[in-house]
Amino acid sequence: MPDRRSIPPARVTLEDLLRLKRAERPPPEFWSEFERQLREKQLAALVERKSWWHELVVIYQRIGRARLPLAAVAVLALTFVSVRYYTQPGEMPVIAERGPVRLTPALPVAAQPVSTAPIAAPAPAAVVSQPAEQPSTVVEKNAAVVTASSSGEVGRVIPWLGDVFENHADTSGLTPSARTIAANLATAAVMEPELLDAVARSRGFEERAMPAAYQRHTAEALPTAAAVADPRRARLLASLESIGAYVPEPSAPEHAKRSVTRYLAQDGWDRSASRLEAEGNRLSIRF
Amino acid sequence: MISLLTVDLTKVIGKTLTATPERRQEADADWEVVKKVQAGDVAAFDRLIVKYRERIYSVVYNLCANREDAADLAQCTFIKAFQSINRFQGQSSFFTWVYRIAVNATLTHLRKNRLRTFFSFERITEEDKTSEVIEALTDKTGADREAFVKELQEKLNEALQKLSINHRMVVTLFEIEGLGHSEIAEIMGCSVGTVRSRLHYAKQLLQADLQSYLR
Repeated sequence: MPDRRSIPPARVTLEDLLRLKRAERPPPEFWSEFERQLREKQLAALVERKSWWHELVVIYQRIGRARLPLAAVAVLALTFVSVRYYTQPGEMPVIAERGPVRLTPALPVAAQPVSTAPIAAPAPAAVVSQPAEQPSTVVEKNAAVVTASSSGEVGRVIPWLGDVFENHADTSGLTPSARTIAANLATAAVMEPELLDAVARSRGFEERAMPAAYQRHTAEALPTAAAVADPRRARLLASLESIGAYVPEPSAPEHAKRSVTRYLAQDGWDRSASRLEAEGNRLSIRF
Repeated sequence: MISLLTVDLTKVIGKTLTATPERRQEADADWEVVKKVQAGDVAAFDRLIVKYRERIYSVVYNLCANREDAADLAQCTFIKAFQSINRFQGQSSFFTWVYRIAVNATLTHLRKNRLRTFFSFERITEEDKTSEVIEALTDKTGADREAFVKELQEKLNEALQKLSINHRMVVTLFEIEGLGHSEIAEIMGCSVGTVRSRLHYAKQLLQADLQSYLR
């Protein structure tokens, strides 16, 4: 160990003091004892059984040396696959794609009554004097929409998706995944209409299928979806369009009549109605 | 891949540039011995033990200031080195590698026994240069001189133990073991700049603590 400089006789520096530490050495006999203890420990280490996970640690350490190159290769491979996937939409897998689908009015799905017509302003009636007979018209109107095309069929089931297809007759503007979903839904509409209905009603389907389109169309689709959820209720509400006057039940107490009048004057009373019932020529509404 | 290769090359070139010819020669000789051990010549490892035991013991002793712990940790260092010798690829010198094992073992020991502070010192072996320093500090002779040296030794160790582990390690490796900044940086796994700044700060603290002995 070379000394960095010689010590001036009358001056003591910190380095000189620290040099004293170098002189703190064990006596020569210490090393024989040191060696004996070392031999004992070496033998003990050889005899000692290693735990089963020790091998795992060794393997991990060996892999650990190459972790950076491995990670780089993984990232490159992932990037390559992603880029390839999104630049070649024609080669994407489509489940049972069968080309354009033509639906006929005889399809069972067309017979389901669905109301997409705007609901009229609330008629002032807690008990109306006319029977609800209009729903048949509503059914016909919606059946026409359903039978228009395969995209219209899908659009009937999922309102916002229908809008997407109507606005993109040429689907080249859609993302590859949207095209795949559209093709699969169209096929499913022909093959399994009931299944498609069930899927469309399942919670969060739209959000999972096309998040971007879902967010864009949620606002418009909700009122319609609410009407579609209960066809009978929609039919009854639609029948209120032609109601002329609110005729209170003569036997009803005065405070009940006032409450009903107040409810019916509010916007969106139909949403707050918990129950609608048609019986004979009477329509009962429970708030 | 190209950038990884560049980093490795930089490391190698940096090491080659900073290592002194003696150190390089020593590293090459050690590497030959290590290759023999890796090939199954276990007795060759004894040569490495004999060569480095004093230096390793000195580092550990100056870090923990306890001769029994130092002996124990130095032995553990050689056992660990022997057990891992097959993983040594010669990317650094054996000397740096075994120092790193010793330093890590000592750090673990010091962290585990932070509250247990029991010092036991080796005797200062009086040589020409040591005697010069002592004579510059005192004109006492005989038993008085011995008492003075003992007191000085205690003060020195006390001042070193007041430093944080990292600062103490830098001072030990640079001032006591005589290693270079780049070697210390490699052993401690930090930059040369960090080594320099730690050394500067540690010396300031020691200077303030040992002011009464400095002339």
